[in-house]
Amino acid sequence: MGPTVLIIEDDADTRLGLSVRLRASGFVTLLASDGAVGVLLAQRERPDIILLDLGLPAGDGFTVLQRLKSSSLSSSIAIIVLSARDPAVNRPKALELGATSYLQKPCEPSDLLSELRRFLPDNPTPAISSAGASSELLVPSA
Amino acid sequence: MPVPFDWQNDPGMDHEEKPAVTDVAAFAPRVSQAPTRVRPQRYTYLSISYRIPTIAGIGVLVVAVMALTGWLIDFLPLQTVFITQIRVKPNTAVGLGAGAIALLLLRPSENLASLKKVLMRCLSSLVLAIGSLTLIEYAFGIDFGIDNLIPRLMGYGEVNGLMAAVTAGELTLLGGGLLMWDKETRKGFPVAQPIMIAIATIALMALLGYAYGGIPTVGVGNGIQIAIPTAISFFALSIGILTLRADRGWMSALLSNGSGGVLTRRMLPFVFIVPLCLGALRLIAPNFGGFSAATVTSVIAVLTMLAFAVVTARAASALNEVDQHRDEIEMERSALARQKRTALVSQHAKSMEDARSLRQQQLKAKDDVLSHVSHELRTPLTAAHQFVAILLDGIAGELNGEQREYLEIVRRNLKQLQAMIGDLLDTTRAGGGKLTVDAYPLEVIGIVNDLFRILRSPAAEKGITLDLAQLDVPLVWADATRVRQILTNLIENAIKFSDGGAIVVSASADESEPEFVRISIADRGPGIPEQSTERIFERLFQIDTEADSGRKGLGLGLYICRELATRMGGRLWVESTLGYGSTFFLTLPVFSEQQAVPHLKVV
Repeated sequence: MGPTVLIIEDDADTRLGLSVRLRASGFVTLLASDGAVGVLLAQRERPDIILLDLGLPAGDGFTVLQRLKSSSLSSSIAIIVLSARDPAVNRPKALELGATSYLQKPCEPSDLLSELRRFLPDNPTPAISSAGASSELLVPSA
Repeated sequence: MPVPFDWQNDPGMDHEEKPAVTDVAAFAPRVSQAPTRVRPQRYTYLSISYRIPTIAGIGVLVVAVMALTGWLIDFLPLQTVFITQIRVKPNTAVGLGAGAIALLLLRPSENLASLKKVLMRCLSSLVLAIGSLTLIEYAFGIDFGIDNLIPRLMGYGEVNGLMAAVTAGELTLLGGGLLMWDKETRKGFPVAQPIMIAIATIALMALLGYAYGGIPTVGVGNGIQIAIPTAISFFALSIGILTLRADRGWMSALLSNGSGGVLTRRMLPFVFIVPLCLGALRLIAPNFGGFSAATVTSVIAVLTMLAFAVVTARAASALNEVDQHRDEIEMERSALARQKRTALVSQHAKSMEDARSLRQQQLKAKDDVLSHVSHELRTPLTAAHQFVAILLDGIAGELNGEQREYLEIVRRNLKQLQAMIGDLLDTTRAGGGKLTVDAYPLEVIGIVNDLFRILRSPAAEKGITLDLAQLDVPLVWADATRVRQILTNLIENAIKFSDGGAIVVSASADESEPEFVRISIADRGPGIPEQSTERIFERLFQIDTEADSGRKGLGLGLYICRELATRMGGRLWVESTLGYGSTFFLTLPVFSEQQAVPHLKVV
């Protein structure tokens, strides 16, 4: 089993695209369509890394970031914020709230993968295989 | 408050001298419905001048009634009106009474009802008849039997009812003057005025004669003298008739509130008092012993000079006062005008300010909408891009050559769309002042090399080579993403507008400004017309000549580039020769140790 990545992203297509891309690179993906599910999954499944979008329903990305960082169950997990918002404003804010890294959407797949590998806990380079697993827990967003 | 004449009914309105209107509103321009221009009214007149005729008329009437009553009841004190022993003769009393009533009839309106007019004419004619008949009696020694008409009717014995010759003359003048009261010369001068002044002068002479203790020398024949009440009455009537036309001739000068009127009124008392006193002096002087006639005359001469000097000085100071007053008013008025102007200007400025802030609000609202829209556009685009990349990377299975080629076209278009949306977003941020740039020490050459790697193949497709010339480039103080954005834009443009040849990117410390790094991008394209070298940096500017070579952009790229360069403290401009190519220059501030480094990040 490769490293587990939790993708918290409200746009279904983007979420699926990320998931396909990461599974192809040997990651196991967990998918959450909003912040509440994201926090729940993060604390239950303890992924190795979290990809977090900022524009989310039911509590925006910054709120999710704070909740993840304030809970002992999830505070040690590396969080990469992936957002289309103006980086000049949002990058410092995200980093200050405990994000590990900030990527500007749209981003090249290679940049995303290298960033993910950089922040993996024990840095086991995932084997590239098509056998990546995905567990999806979707809650219809309100 | 002055009581106005009934000017609207003035038959003399069309004469040169326009009558006064009593308030200051006369100074304000009037909207006249008449096509003819209404001349502004210059003066108002003393309020007293509107009452003098009434006062005089009533006073004289009282005198006349008293005297006549005295004759009717044969009571001497009434006949003399309690003054001296000289009686007011019955015919004189009738004449004075008629004159007084005629004067009163002229009040208050000058436009007489026809009945009043007839009555006035009759009374005036009566006065004229009494005076002239008596004069004829004097002249030819005839007795018409008019002098003792009243005493005889009352059953008196022989009484000398003949009035003084002076009185007869005065009555004649009065009757004539009253008949001509509204006659004017062609220049608008009232004929009655000199007549009235003659009456007043004669009356005054008689009175002065009494005052100096002598017998009026104008008494002709029989030693019959003009009675004091009679003289006073003539004086009063003449003044009353004079003031009746305050707006005309000599009287307008005397009674107006203009500076001339004020001046005249100040001097006039002296005109009367000084000669009166001097006359008295001359009269009594010989009684002081030891003074020669020469001495007395010289004293009087000197006193006359002094009196004239004083009067002149008073006139001068009065004029000065008027001047000063006018200046003050003028200043007040111009201050008022200035205030009004200032108020208007500030009001205008305020409305401009309001309009501007409204426009800014509208612009901001528009920018907010644009910002939101472009954000929303990005999401589906990102997803589409992702899946194209997944397919091209073979994650979903191998593609054949044709499939790959078509997907590349999709990807290229998606990228173009992405860039446009990015530009749009940056533009709205720039418009809202929210285009943010970071600043940290940065190596520019790394970025250029990186861009060359990406852009070399699209350049090569057009037979263009990319060359870099660098010389000791110091670190700059800038935002890597933004510098990359600017250089991408400039190099892509250079490729787009060139056909073959080399694009040379040079970087070095600026020779003229060593605190800046200067990066230039020189192409061999068609060049930019001189008049457009600034306009290409404007929002939505598009060059027309590229119709065949690919799509137009949004016309925002260079606008954003310049905006970004400025925000990083640098400059962006172009130098171009039509037909020989263009060179874009970007300067960025050199990083120095003194610069505060809040978050150091070397890229």
